[in-house]
Amino acid sequence: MVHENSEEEHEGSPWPALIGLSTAPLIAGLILILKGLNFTAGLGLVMLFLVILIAFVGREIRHWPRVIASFFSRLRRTPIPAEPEIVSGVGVPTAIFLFTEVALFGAGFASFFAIRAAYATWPPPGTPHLEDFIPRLQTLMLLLSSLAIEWAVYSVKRDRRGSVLAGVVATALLGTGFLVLKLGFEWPHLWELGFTPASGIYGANFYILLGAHGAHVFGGVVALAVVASRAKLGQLTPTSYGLLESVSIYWHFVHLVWLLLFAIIYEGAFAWL
Amino acid sequence: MSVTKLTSTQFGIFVIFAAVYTAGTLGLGRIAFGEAQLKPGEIGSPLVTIFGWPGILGLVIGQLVANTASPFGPIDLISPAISLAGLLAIKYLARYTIFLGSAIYVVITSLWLAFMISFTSPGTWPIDQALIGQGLAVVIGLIIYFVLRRLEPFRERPMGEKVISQQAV
Repeated sequence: MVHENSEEEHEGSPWPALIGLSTAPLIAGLILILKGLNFTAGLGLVMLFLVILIAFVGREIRHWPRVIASFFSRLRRTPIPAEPEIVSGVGVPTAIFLFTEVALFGAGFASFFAIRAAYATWPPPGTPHLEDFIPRLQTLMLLLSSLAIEWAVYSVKRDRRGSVLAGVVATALLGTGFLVLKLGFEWPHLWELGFTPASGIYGANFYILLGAHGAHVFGGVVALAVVASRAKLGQLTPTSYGLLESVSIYWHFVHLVWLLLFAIIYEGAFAWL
Repeated sequence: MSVTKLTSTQFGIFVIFAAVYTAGTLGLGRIAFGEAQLKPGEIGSPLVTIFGWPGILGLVIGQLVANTASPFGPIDLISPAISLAGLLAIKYLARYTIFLGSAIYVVITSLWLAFMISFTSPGTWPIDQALIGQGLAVVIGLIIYFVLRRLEPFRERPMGEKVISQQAV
């Protein structure tokens, strides 16, 4: 009963919005400090963010053991959650989350074009030629992974549990392959050529953009592992598969961002600008 | 397709079609058949009759992304709008026959392609090469269309949420 009440407290909570908004003074404060404009004001703004964050954590921390225990109990043995993960409830929260992701990568692409505009020639002198063979393979892998997870979604609607698990596992393996190609082959080769984050502002931007995307792929693989565990335990049914639906939308979004990265960074998009 | 009803299937079809066009065009390049050139990304065009609006939007956005790296320059950013007209013809004429819409798509996009080539290379009007290139891509797409139609997931029309809406209630 206590648990139900505490879950109800989360409905309509202002904290996510408050913490989201408080990142604005955080960033403003960091800019003031790092640019040496006004250390005291900057520190005050950073402290404002920390106070809000500490207040949130202090209020919520008592719920964490139960939340964590509930999460692992679902993974281990609970057949199906009492409240089905209703698919119709997924759209708006996921869309809002994706909007923040669009803002993140939008800022990354904007910085890329700002850097590019600052150079008379592109790529900057001394930058090695970026081979696109591995990125082409990665594009193919993400395309196949999107098909695989859609196969899983198609199968869960028809209660084909084996196919659901196969689709999710295939997606996770293709995502892992994507990361192996990037971290095991492409980046070591670029480092051997002397193209590192310390190579200049373009090098830093290149690794930030592709690193942020790689981190999202890694996060997706972890989420897919959780979905696979739930699928293996038979917790995904035609009426309760919101987790798979959300992870699927996220995965497609990560794929979409890669298409832009592939075109802009490796294939010379907007070369006529 | 409102946000509240956004499903992974719709979003997934959109991204997959965008990827097919972008990866097909940038990853595979243009495949030469004599003087004519086939853009692999165009192969997905007839499939919009199966996949509907998400497929159309995916191809249009995919083309927009791919054309940012086009050898024709910024004029090729208009091409997705031309393709959209052709794709709408395929989608809405498919209730009669898929061949009519596909033929219209080939003609519309070939005329535009020939115009772009003549724009960048004055004095040329390679409509025959454009027709061959676009025609080949659409014929391959039609073959894939008829193969897919025989497979279970693609027999339903439109592609989407029929099963979940029946089972969830």
